[in-house]
Amino acid sequence: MKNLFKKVSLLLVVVMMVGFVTACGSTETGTNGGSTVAEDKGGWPNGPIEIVVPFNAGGDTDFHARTYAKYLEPILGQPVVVLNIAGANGSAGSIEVMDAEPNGQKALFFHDSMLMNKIVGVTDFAHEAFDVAATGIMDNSYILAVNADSPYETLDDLVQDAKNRPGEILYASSIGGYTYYVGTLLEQLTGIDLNIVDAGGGSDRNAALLAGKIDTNVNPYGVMKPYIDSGDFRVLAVFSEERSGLFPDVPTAKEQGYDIIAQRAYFLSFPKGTDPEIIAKMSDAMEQVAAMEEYKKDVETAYAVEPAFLNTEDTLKYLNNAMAEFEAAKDIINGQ
Amino acid sequence: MLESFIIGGQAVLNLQGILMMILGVVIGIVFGAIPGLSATMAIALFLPITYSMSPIMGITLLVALYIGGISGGLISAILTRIPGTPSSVATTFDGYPLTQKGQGAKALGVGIVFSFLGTIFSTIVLIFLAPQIAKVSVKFGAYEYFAVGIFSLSMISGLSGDSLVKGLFSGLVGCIFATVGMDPIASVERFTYGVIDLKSGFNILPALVGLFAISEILFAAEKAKFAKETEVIKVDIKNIKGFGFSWKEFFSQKFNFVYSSIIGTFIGILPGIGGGVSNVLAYTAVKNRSKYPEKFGTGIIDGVVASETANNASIGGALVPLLTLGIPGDTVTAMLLGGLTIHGISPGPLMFTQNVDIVYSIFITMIVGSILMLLIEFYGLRGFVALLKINKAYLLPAIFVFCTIGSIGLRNRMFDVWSIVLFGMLGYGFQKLDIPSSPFILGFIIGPMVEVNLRRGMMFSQGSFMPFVTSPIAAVFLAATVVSISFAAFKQYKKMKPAKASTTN
Repeated sequence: MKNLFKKVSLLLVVVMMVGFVTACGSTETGTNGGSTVAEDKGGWPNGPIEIVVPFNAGGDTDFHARTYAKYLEPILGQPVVVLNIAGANGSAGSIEVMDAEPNGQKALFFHDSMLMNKIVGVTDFAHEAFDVAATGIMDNSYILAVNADSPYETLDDLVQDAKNRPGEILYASSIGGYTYYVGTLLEQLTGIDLNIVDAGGGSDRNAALLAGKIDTNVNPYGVMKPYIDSGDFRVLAVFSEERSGLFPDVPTAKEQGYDIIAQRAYFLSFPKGTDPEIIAKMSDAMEQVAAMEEYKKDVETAYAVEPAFLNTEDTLKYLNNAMAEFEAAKDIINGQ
Repeated sequence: MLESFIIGGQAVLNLQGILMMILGVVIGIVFGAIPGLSATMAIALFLPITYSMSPIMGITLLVALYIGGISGGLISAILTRIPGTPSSVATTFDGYPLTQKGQGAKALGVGIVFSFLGTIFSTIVLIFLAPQIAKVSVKFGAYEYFAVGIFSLSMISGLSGDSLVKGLFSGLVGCIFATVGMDPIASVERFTYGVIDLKSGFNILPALVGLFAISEILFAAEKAKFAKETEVIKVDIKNIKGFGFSWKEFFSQKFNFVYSSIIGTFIGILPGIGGGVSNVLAYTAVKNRSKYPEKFGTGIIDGVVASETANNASIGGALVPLLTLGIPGDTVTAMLLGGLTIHGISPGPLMFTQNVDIVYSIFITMIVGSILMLLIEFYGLRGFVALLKINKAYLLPAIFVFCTIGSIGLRNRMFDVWSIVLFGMLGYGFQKLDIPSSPFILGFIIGPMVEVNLRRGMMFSQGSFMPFVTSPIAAVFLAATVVSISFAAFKQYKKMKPAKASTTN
């Protein structure tokens, strides 16, 4: 009997330890003991809001969502919880929100890849399947960089060399990904033929560029920043409308005569059928966050991006435009 | 360097820092020890919490979790034959037979001490050689990784037990399961049958939990139903002295240790693979060069030493590319990278000059953290062994629950729970047919690495195979593969009658 007691208590200890651990882990998940389920929709938010990030913790999407969550919480007066549901390049998490109750308690934080997923056939839906609230931040820091040993000093040098040696310049990107599209745009605009190769994710491509295994690479500035600071990489152009305030020395592609704009909007959307009032409230709250000085500092230090907010209407306009653009380039994106 | 250590020490060797380390190591061990929960999961869970801490405290907690988590897996691997994490698969091979012989405490002691030494070895490599290694490792491209992958797959021969064919079959099934989902280059769907959950493929953790934990539970359930008496494992707690093994035994492992440490550190350095592969490779390598390979798997400490040294050595290895190049060596370091980025610190070439405090506090955390791990596991040793006294009828259902929690905690998806059931049945079937499960895991992890790098390499070379053999590094690994396979085939050939030999190829 005594023995059994020992066994059971030992087991209990194990269970409690794990309970403790998981409880620690879920303090972030937060239980909102005090909230009551209010019927009044005008009372939104009346419970914790879940923001689904369709990727694992630790990436750029996760960072932007969590930074928003941190500042939205005091504004909305409810816990704002980030839930990572990774899989199928963001589709798994998207579907989770698409199928959720449209009560404003569950939202999706995603970016242009949602549209790209439809173009390449990973999903059969894009932003039209959701009620889009607002764009929290626009990353327009896409730059083209080369190794410091490279002979190219300007974008033009690269294009001229590519004209002389068709199919020999190695441009790294993930097939069907956004930077792949940027590469094909450059090819189309200049009539050059690059050898677009897959060299893994952002940091893998940094290594490949460092070792001279690839000739050039397009990525957001933040991804390549350590190598730019150390002088290992040279930036030839930024694909934005205007020069960035954070790295003003880098000329835009446009001012070098190549009109290519690359950007990514991180937007928040609710399941279809959500009360427009909820959407308006969320958009307002996000606008307040985007204007905060602390917020600005967070995104600048982590990803070298300047805050940029688009309200519901502008976000829809942006997404529809982007979709039309991708649709037009569908065959190129799919490598046909 | 001394000055840098002082800077790092000031940052981390304070009350808060030490508390973080203790917390991290303890929680890491718990997560590692419980099948279904892993080091990766512990870090994923705590990563968001560290966002609100100072960068140094956050990273200290995460590194301590990493060390504890990788080591903790040995406890369940040795005592129940269920590896607590992917890093402890090979620990079960000799660890559990030792337990069956009544030497569970000794196996644990050996595992704990060599986990510690493995961590320390790789930390020393990290501190003194990281920038030099980074310069070499950056030379590894698609051709070289392809060759390393092929070489690693050839290790299946060492894991196959009596039948090479069965081992190859298991490895192949692993490779096939890994292809489910969107292909890694062009996102073309494979074997998804329109099921959205299948698009993201199977994750390694449910595969491991299913094959090793669920199948084990199914087996125990079957045995319990038909056995007249429940199997009782002798446990002798009173007579454990120190770590339960002698100095003589300790010194007999010195070459084994050095060998496994080097393999562990090297595998850790390579992006994409870490402790989950290194423990199996080190086990096979040590077995192959041993004077008594036939004794492996019957319960000798050599097997435990190889596996546990290598998996912990992979930690320091994985931190080499992370800190010097900003490239994560495995899933855990990928999350550490996220943790650093959040605080505006980008690991890369300037890390050692711009963030001396962070780099050296990581070094100090690894050293102090592994000492803490040694102490905590030493004092916990008797407690762990006492777990064996728990009737399996109580223990296994609890493990089942944890496996389920662990798999849903992975990506917050029910799909992963059904996956462990699927892999559990597969593992059960494998065991019934005497097919080893560990080649499956190797195929599952390495298969995609080989595929991706083959395809990338072909893109680079515009369709030519030549660079795969003309790259010196790749050529060396491919040659080693040929030697390794010929050796294994020859051994198998000797074992079989000449008449039957033709069927082995």
